[in-house]
Amino acid sequence: MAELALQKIGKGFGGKSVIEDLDLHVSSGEMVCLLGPSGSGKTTTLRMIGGFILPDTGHIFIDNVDVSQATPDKRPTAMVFQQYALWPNMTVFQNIAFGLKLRNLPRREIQEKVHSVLDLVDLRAQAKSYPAQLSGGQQQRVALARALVLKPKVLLLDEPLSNLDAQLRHKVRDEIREIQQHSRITTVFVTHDQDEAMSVSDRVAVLSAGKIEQFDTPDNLYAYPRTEFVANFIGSMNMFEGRLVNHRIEVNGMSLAFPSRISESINDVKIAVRPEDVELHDSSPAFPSGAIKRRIPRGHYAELILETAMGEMRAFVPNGYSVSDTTGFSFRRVLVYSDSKLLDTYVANVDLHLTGIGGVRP
Amino acid sequence: MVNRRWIGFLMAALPIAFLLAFVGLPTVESFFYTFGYTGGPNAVVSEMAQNQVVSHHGATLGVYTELWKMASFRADFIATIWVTIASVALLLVISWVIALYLRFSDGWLARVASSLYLIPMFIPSVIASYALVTFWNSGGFVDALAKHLGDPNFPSFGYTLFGVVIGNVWTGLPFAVLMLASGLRNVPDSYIEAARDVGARAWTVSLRILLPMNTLPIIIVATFNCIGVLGAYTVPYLMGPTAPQLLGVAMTSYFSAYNEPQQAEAMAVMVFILAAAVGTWYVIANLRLDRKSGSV
Amino acid sequence: MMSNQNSVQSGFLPIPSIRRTVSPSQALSRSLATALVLALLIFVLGPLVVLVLWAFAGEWFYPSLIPQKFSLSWWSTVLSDSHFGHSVLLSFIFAPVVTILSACICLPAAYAFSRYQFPGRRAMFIGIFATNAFPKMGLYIAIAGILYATHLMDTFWGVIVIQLMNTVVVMTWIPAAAFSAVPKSLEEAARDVGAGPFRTFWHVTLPMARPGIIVAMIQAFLASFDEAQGTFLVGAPNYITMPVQMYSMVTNYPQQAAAVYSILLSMPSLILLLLIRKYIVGGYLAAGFRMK
Repeated sequence: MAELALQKIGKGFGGKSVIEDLDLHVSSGEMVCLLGPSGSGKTTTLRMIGGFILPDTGHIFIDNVDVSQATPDKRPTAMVFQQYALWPNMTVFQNIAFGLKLRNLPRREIQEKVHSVLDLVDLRAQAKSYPAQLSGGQQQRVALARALVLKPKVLLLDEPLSNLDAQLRHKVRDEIREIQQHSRITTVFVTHDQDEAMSVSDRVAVLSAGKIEQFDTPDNLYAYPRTEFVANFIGSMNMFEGRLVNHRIEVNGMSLAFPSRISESINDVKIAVRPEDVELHDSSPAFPSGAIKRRIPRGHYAELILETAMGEMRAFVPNGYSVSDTTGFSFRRVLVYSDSKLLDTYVANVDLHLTGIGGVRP
Repeated sequence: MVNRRWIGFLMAALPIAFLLAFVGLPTVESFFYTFGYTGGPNAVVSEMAQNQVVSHHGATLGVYTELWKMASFRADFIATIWVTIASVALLLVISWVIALYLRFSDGWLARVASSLYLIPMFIPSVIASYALVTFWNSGGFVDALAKHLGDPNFPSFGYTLFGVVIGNVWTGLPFAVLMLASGLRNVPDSYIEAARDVGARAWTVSLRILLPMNTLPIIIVATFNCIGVLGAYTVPYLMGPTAPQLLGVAMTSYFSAYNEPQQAEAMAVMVFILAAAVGTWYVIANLRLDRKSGSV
Repeated sequence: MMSNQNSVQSGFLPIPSIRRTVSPSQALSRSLATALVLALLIFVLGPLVVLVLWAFAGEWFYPSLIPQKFSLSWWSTVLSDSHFGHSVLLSFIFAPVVTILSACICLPAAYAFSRYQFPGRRAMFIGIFATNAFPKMGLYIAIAGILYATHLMDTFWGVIVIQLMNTVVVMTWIPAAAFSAVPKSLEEAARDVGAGPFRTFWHVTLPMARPGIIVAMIQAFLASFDEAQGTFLVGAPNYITMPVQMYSMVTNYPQQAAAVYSILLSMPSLILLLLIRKYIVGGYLAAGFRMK
């Protein structure tokens, strides 16, 4: 159980800045995910926490102790590597015991600790096997056990599931979460897979170009994406460019009711609508209409691509619609962005004459 | 697929046939020759040979017992073993250190080092031995330098067994460092980082992670050098003492100077047995590692 | 460099940062590295530099560290020597012939070892290594017997056989590893778009394996070019190549002449190896010695 704090961390490689002024505070026992596209700096950040890269500026604190310039062997962190990095010349037991042996613990104690962590990851029977004899999922668990056996204050996972096939990935994902919750160990996890991030983390930090765009719970991240980047990156989103004219937002000739709280000095805005917030109606003059251009079956629902006056639009709807039907539509919920920041959220349920009753969550 | 199998076999058989004719056959013949058989292709050689042990019925160990009775041969034999072990051990330690340095450093100093260690590969061994003996000999450059630095008693290594060791290390350096450096390059960073993460210092990482992960390149370097040094001629001939001689030199003198080819061949057979033992170790190590490791 | 501002604000202990100052251990490892490279420099280059100095020395008496007099006279002596020209010519005939013959014999085998499965494949591959296990000198003596019997002693082809023997291992193992490193899927893709087996080999496999083959050929060339013991035994007195000539230079001529000769003899190897340096460091040589 330990707090982890990154303060104004900066890192550049060869004169190119990769991370700038990054702040991150992870509470004790929390599982936090660093999520972002490749090149966003998430792995660099994780490696700086582990001590494999030293930050150029800023500080890293673990339980209020500055470890910014400490080498990995001097940090209370343990890393699970993307390719697991199990030493092929050692058995499972030896891999896990290596760190304990370096600490000159008595034999008995080493055995006890290794066996108890092997029980935790359910691999006791494989103690004498070599890594090459194990399946991918087993190797993954050995890597986790090797990290956990040293009772680190912070556990670091670098894309731990990327080498597993889809089915196994879900299973191991849940196992990791279970083990983490059982041991209440502060955990930082790097992934580019948002599904993975959303399903196991307490909070997710979305990174883009070396900056944290938003650090929030998965629910908030989905419902209130603070920036345009997050809105586009998390889940699926329809985005339309519009203008604020005469108390209304105009999007390609269609108009939406004026959100009274928005300052009149703002001109250009974007509105964002989740596909599941697009509601379809029978064609009638009461609703704007669109033509169904494509239908993509998704199993228990369908994804439609609508051709509308506003532009192309995605909608998640119950099964039953077919291509080239014409339909009316309205939005249940709309997010408004200006200068790529979230301005306001509106919830409506009738038509495009929206009334502002929602609000930006803090 | 039967066709393809035989095409492959025939293609591979070409060098094998050549080796069988010009290495296998002479080796076997000379093997018999040392046990007293002077017929067949051995006839020409044995006609000119002196001091020959001939057996008309079965085999005789005459040549071998005769050799072992000679104190000079026993000294040669021991010197050969000593030089081989010393050369290989010293070479492994030096090239391991250099390879480690190359693996973990960049910058201009490392670039200089990575060109330096290759240079001996560029130099024919006759010239290398000649240059080395001029350099380390008494009255040579090192001697002069030691004198200038105020140590007139600095040992000179020219024409000593240790001089031969120096020569072997010098000529063996490029191959050894290449093999070890390429082995070390194949160890992904994450294996080393994982060890650092659980608290291992550089020394421990080198001995407990990198060394066991590189047993194969180390064995390759050890065997090839062992075998090379055991039968070497040029380096010990130009750099070594007149007595004891290394077996590679001794067998040449027996053949051309004393005109005793049977004795020379007997020495070759003994060196071959040593080399074969080392070679077997290499093959076994290869097979065993092949079976064990799937991942690296 | 104190982190006081931020630390106080967020309630963390202010700890002085040690960034950009060189710690004692860093300084130690840096000076150790410098010492290592320096020692390597002296060990490797020292003898060669002294040799070059000798080649230009008029007079050099112990214990001076550099020659007392410089002179070019030994260069003209060596270059105008008729033995020299003859041995250069011989060396440059033998080495290419041996290299090409070796390639003809060994490259098909290398391809077979890496791409075909056939009975005895592994045993044959390892068997090639056996050539290296028998001590060279003993082998030459044994072969001499056969060569006497077949009247190849002191002939052109006798020398070729002796030199060829030394090239088989590199010429089989290194290209075999290079062929194996060509992904099968690339060959399959070529077959898929309609290339026959020969075209596939010529346009896909061979170009990708070329660096390994070049390394092997140059190694073979040098093995032949530098071979002295066997050539002397089989070829003398009619076929005295450069390295064989070097033996008599070392023992019978003044130091300067031998030094000049050494430099001349090193030139071809030096040039060739400089040309393929990047391939050698790139691991093609090393790959050849891991059995597959």
